[in-house]
Amino acid sequence: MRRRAFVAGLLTGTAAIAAGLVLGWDDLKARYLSSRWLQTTRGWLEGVDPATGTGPLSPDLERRLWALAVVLLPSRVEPEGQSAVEEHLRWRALESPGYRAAFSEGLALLDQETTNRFPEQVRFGDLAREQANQVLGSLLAGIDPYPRYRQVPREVLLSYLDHGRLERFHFRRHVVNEILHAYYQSGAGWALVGYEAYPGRCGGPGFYSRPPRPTGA
Amino acid sequence: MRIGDPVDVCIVGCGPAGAVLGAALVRDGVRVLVLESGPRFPFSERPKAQRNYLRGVDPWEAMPEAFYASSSRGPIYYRLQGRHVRGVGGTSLHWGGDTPRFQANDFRLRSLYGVGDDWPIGYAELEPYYVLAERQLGVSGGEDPFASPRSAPYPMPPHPLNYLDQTIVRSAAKLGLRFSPVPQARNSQPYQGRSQCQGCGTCTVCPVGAKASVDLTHVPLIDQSDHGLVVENVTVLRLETDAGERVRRAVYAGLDRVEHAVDADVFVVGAGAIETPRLLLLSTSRNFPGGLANRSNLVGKRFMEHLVCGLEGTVTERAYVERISFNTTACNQFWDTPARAERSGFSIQIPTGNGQTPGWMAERSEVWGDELSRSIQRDFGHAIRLESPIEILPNDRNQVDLDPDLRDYFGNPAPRIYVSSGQYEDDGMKAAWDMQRRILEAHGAKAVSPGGRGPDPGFWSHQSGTCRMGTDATASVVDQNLRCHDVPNLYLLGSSVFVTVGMANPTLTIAALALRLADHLLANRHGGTP
Repeated sequence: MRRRAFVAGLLTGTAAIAAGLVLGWDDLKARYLSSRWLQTTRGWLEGVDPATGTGPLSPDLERRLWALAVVLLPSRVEPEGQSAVEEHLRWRALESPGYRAAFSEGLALLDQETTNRFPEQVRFGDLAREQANQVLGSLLAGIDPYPRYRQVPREVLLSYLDHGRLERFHFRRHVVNEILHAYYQSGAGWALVGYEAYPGRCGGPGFYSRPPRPTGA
Repeated sequence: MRIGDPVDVCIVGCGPAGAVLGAALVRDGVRVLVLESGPRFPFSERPKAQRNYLRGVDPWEAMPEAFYASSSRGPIYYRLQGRHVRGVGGTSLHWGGDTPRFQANDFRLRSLYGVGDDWPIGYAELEPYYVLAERQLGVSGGEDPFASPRSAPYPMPPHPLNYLDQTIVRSAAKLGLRFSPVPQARNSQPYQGRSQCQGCGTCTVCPVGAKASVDLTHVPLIDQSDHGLVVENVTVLRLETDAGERVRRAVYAGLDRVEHAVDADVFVVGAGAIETPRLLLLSTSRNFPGGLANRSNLVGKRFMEHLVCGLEGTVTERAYVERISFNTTACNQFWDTPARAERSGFSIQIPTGNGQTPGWMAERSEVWGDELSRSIQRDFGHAIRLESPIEILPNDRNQVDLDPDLRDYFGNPAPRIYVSSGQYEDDGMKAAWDMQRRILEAHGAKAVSPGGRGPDPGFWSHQSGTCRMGTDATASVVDQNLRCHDVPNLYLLGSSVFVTVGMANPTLTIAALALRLADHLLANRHGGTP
């Protein structure tokens, strides 16, 4: 079933690429934005299917997301950083259609890769840090960390040559990057570079006319 | 005032144009109805909007996606979505708040330099309205030797210079360049009940109300009047004329797509340089088969924007970027020079960063864990950037028309935008890049290049032109009083009437034109029919 969906998706994606080459991806997106087939295709390309809706994260999903975050983030994470990540992931699942399912699919991929590399382990969260790094390295190797929107069709094209690449691309984009961005955009991330005031935390009138206190690097 | 009550003036659009005009008219007893396509964004919800903004969600995009449909067909792709706001307050909700005036010579490009066109009004005529607009919005500013003369000081002193700017300004001074404070509709001290800027770093959503937006500065004056009414979430679909050449009524619909109509003596369209011509082109009739007020065939033509070009360089010392999100200083030395006969002028701006925050860096990193945090500590804040706006001259190729295929939420043709640049603009960019490079190198920057954004110019979201002002009815859409040549009770307002776009951000000029139009309408009202 998954294989069939993959092939169907590729065919749809090919049509989208062909149209994209003629019209330009952005124009295609704008022109047919409201058509259902493109929304479905778009969801497939981007790895987020809005039709799967929103909802709260289950405790199991939260636990597994945090197990991944522990590997992605610095070895010492302050409570502020942890709550920023957790709150962001909860918000994303509740407010952005398709993200809860994307998290779930990304974590399933992570567990699958865990079992492939370490057959005695079922879940990523059970791995030692070094093993976890190996699994992540395997999944993220060769994947553009942050492709621009118009590069998405390229990822589809590469999927022809590398089965499973698209899932890994989606994992990077919608799971890994969500966690990294939430942490490094929070006070914990800004503290790393010595900023006490930063976008979202007001520094007071004219604070910016002086350099920050040298608490960072 | 309620829907159904008699209306003297019906205004389409509640952005800086419509709200400033509406507030001025209700003060004098005019019965004003303002119809706004988007919703209200209560000030009490700013913290939530700020959180969404930080999460990458556009907090001002509250309508179904089809409301934002547009297409681009020119050599430079133009994405409209995110470049204007549908809502009470309009684009002033998300603007940066920069409020430079046009320079006197911006109004006389043809006479002085033989390029572009002249406006039918001059700086001196608009200057008193600039003063009034600055007072109403609350503008902080300081001396600029390259700006045109002022008849009154800024209402507030300038903001202190960003630390990053201080360092670059010192380097630029070695080249003989002078930077001046950027005028800001952002309070440098408490002003008219609104807070002083608290340096929150999210000017797109100012959580304290220090940045002026007309939902805070002008809409309350209409709301509090017993003869003014702002109706949100209604989109004007067309303007219908009587048997002659006057607009009789505006037909509008809400999200339920059910049509309603309102009659008025005078109609004013202030819906921006994209939606204003689109509404006219959608309003066809026997007398106006090519679109309302379009006998000149110029409705939608001569679309203008500010191209923006920039260079980046890396510096050894951390530059303390990304602390705030407004520019505190700019160099206007190259805005208006004799070279303008050959190429666009430009100013030089110091953006507060290039967007490379720790979060941005993390998303693009190929490492994670402690290695990632170390790399961010090491690499953050060493890239600085300079940017310049470039003036696109008016030409008939650049235009807004109706897309034959793409439809909006109501099934009407969406706007289609064509924008290109020519030698004048390209040479302006080359000159700007040359000066940016000299400043960056004087500052000790290495690896100077267009940076991650590439050499392609971007836009500053300053859509202008498309319903130009002029005295000749065959060569313009509205006259010097913003009245349509073809339709005696229809006025157009906003950047759509601009003849040229200069180097200034357009909002202050939009507000000044609105106040001038208010005086014109009131004078006509007191003297007889508008």
